[in-house]
Amino acid sequence: MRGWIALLGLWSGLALAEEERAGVDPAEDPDPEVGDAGPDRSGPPDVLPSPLLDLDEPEIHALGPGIEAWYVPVDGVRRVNVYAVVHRGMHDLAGWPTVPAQAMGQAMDVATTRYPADALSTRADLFEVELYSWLGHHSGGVSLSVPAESLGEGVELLGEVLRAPVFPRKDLKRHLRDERVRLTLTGPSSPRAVAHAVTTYAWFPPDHPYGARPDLSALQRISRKEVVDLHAQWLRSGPITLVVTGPVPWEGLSPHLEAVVDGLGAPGEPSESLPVAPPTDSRVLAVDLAGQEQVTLTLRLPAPVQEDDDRVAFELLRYALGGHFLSRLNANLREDKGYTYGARATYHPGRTSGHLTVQVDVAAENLAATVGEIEHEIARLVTEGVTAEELEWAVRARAFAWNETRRTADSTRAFYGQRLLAGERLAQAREREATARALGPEAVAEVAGRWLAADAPRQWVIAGDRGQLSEQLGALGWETQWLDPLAGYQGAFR
Amino acid sequence: MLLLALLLPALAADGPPVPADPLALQPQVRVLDNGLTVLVEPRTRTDSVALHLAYQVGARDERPGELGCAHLFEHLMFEGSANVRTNAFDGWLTAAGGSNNAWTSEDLTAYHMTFPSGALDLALFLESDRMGFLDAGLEDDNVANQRLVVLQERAEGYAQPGGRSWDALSRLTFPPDHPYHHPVIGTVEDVAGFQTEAVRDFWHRHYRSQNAVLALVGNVDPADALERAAHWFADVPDAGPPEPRVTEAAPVEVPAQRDGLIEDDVEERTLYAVWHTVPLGHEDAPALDLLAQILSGGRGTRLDDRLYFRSNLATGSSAFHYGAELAGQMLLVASSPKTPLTRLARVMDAEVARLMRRPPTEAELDRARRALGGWVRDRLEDNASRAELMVDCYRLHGTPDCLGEEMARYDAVTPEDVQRVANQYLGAERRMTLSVVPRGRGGAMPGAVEVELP
Repeated sequence: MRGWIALLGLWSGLALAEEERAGVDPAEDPDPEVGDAGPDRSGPPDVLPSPLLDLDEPEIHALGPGIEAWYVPVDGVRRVNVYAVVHRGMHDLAGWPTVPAQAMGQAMDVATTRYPADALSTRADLFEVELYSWLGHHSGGVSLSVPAESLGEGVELLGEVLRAPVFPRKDLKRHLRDERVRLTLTGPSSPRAVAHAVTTYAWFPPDHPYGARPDLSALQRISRKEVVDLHAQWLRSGPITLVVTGPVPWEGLSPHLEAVVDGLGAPGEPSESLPVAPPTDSRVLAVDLAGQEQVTLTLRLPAPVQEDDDRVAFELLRYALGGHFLSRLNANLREDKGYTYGARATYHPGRTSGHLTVQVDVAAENLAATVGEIEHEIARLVTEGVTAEELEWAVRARAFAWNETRRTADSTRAFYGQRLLAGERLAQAREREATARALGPEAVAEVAGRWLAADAPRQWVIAGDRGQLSEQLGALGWETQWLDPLAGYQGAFR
Repeated sequence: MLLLALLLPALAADGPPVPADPLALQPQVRVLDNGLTVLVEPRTRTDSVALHLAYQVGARDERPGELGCAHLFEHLMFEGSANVRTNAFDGWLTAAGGSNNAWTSEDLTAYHMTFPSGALDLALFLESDRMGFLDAGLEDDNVANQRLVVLQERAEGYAQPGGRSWDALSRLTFPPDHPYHHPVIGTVEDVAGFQTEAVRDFWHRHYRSQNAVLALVGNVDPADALERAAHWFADVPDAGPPEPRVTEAAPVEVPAQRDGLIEDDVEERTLYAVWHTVPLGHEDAPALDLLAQILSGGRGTRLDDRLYFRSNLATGSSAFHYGAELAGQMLLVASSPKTPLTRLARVMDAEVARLMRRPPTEAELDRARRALGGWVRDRLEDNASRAELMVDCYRLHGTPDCLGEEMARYDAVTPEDVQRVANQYLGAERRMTLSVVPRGRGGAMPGAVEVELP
């Protein structure tokens, strides 16, 4: 397979009524190249740009004190999506991620008072209902996807899972067992999983809730009562929002949804992200995976947070650096050097913590050279900025993703769900797209200079065979903190 | 895997009417002068267009000494052609806001793109140029570079836990002279040794207009899109039919050494139990697909319950029926850090034996049908998936609109059919196993011999 590359970014777009068309109407577009003369291959044909389509703000419906629905109709699709979000998470319940809280998030969708586990699973399959539950640091909920013709059955199951999960003891114990296996066996034996875990734990100190390390001793037993009580507390602890998308009119949905949330929630503000101090010093952590011929390499740097004025420019920088097949990193490390199957960069503009992460796998012998090339490409962004062409590519990719928002009910739900969790309205997202279109190379270069300079703190994580890597790391002049895979994967380091 | 689920009646008075035939794939079809078949279906939900172009060439068409060439060649299709310089393929498409990728299997190589409708001419220009004029763009530097990339792709994949399992299964279960014996990624020796001329020869033999089917789904006017396709492919020469390929799906014998092992950097042992079954399109394929779902379709299904939900025997289990054009296989898989593989195997054997003794219930079969059918119907919402499905329908059945009939075959499967195929194909004497075990710690099935991956 050629590569992993997919557009990294939001998939958003505008749903069209069946009789409308977006962008160019191909039947009306005169094409001087189509004719009897045969194709003109002297250069690429012109591309007619698509306008950025209007997305509507969701209809907001009050369903009770502290409860509202964001409804976005999507015609001509098969499924209805309901994303039920309680704006309270682990941090609000327990101060820190705890085993009972994590178990609660995982096991809500196993069984309910009306449907034992087997019956719930069977019923879901019979009506093509997809349900999953989760609990994060600051929010949690249940997501439903169901064909429109089975709306009643699907929403019934949503209500059951949200309101009346029973948390069977056997499944709670299985959750603990699976976590122990993951933390002690399967996770540490995966180079990429270990590198990812170390990258995350190194970014957040152990005394910060976002960096909370797993407590293996707490994974030995679990109190079902504690999980049940947590759930009851959570369900009425804060505001609730339902993001609802699909082909069913609101009038057909509201009676079902009102029953789902009746008596739940509480007025208030959504849980807030915690302050995070970005690292100020560079560091290098390495995980010794004896015998590995490959090395997994990640580099993380601080980056603008969600509301930072530099955010949009940084998104464009990220795309140029490692966001597509011909991005600088991939063009260099794969197409030019043949070092890797794929190099990429991702950017997370969190509310209180932002970071850029570069990730690549290479043969161990190419570690130092790869580090050099990554730094070279980052330095080029600082000294040379991006080209107008690179900016245009980034803007076009964003426009295409935007225009694809309403491809399905699920893609629509994902887009508006992200707005919800980011605490922003559609107008802000639109404004970001306008900003992206207006930014020029000089402005973007300034942002590169502010965030990617040589003295910006860097967190390198390397997972590979120490015997093959030590010399190269020494030649780089790096002081390296070595970890074994277990310690790395479990965050047992500072 | 082409499936059908029963359509459910509308249950909510407020819901939309059920579509007349949601399984219909009815593009306009045109066979161009050079033999390329083009399928076009308009869908105007968004402005995008999906293009899917399949060449009927895969790893099974490789000759000794060129193992991995089909996949390497897939890489080289992006490196430039007569009128598209190196990197321009991706560059121009990315500049238009589009994206693209490809994949290679034993049976075919598929290229796909998604792009705004205003880039239709560009997409057709790019595809036609590399179909007709790739050899002018083949350069030694690009071939050399992509050799490195492919070898690195292999190395990265093999470095992941379990990353060698699929290739090891092919080598274990198919005899050396079977087209499916060698991995799609090829061998290190062959890939490292590819020269430009050999690649060019491969292109001439297989990459011909008569050997390809192209589909466009999205914001297009069919008549206009067909005219544009005809225009852009007009100068792509008809190089005649491709090199003949094996099309006869002969029964595959169980190898004398039917238990294999690989040692890996893992902390769990994994057992793959494998049986040769039937190829894609065989009359028994639907029953086998449904059998796999009955065994491992989540909670409340037989194998998953026995191994995971109702015991601690395994940390995970799965069953799937994989049908390729020349052969198919049923695979049952389970992993555990503690449970001996022999115990996992006994549970698998016991569940297969249950199906042999007694058919599944109607409820089990109905649930399996709905699960598989729903998956297909969800895929049909996506332009790229629709394009792929209609190309596969056309290649295998001569019509792009095959889903209705295909899914009717699943609808027709009875519990007794499932019992019959269990008895016919999944006997103990036909079972092969691959044990994936931690290095130096043993625990493989008795008699298992290491599988080499050159």
